[in-house]
Amino acid sequence: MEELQALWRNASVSEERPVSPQELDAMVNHRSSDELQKFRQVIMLEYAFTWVIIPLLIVGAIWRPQYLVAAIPLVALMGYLLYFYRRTLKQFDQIHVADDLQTYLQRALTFLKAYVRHYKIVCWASGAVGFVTGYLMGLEEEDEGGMLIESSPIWDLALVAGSIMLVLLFCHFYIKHLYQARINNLEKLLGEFSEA
Amino acid sequence: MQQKQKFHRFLNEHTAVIRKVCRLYTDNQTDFHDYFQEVVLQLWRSFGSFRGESKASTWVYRVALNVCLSQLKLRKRRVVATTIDPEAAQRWADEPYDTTEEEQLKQLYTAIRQLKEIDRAIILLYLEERSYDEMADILGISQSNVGVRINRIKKQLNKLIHGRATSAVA
Repeated sequence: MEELQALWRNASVSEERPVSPQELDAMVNHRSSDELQKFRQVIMLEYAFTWVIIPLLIVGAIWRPQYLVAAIPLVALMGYLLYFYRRTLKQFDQIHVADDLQTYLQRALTFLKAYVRHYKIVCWASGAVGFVTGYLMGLEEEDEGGMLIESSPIWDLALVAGSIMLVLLFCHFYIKHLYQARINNLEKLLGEFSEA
Repeated sequence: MQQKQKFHRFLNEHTAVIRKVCRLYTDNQTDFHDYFQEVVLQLWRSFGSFRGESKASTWVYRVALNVCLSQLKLRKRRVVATTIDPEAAQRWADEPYDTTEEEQLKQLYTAIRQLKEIDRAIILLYLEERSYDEMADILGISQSNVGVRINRIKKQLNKLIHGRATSAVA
């Protein structure tokens, strides 16, 4: 192995080409391609989006009071989401790239797992809220004789449940697409640490 | 501006290390350039918070390895690195040992890329002649664990490069 170390040492000379100030400028101004940074951007985007949705919901509820029953739980949910995103962003900033490898990978994994778990809970909660409010609104409209579909309440339930299931399925695959591969790979990497 | 100049000097003291780390986790020029760029960017972003609590080299290794391992994960992987490919090992074993340094180095990189990701980091630090203490600090494992792993990886690497028994490993 000493000869390999010597070979490696000699290789250092050829790798020592200095970075010019122009190259450095280009590199530090370049957009990060780090996947974890991209997740942060996604969370930031969702956080900003939630801020936009809340006033729209409130204005909508004032404008159309008949939707108040749906707007109240949705605003409450959005309020919780704001808190959740803010907390998540803070947690994210605790992952330091200068930590030792095992700590860095462990923190990234713990964060992502907690985030995904929470995200799924929020999705299902949104689904449940949507289902209940959708059904209640359907009943209200039925009382007023303004039903869109003239049929039994079973059709209302099926329509609402079907729409919600579609949204939930979309969320499920969206989350999986964004985070599951990363989680699997982090687990695999951390598994290498526990191998003797 | 002064901070950037300071970073520029710092970076040029460590470019060889960064390039070697990036080279271990890539197998083409485009990926290598992307990884190098990302490592420099992350070093720059963290440079302000580097207070010298650890050695500068330890800090650079940590950032470079963490970035490369993160980068590696969700890309379409051209470098498959879960197990040693027995066919490749046999092929190298059968090839006449090339005496040119460049060719030897190429073989060394190819062999290391056949190792698992964390093992690559460990052997890199070993070849860089880092102390067990520093290696443990970079990796976040105990010194005794470092020792055990190095012995195992040396055997694997030796087998890959020379295709010979482990007894020859120093």
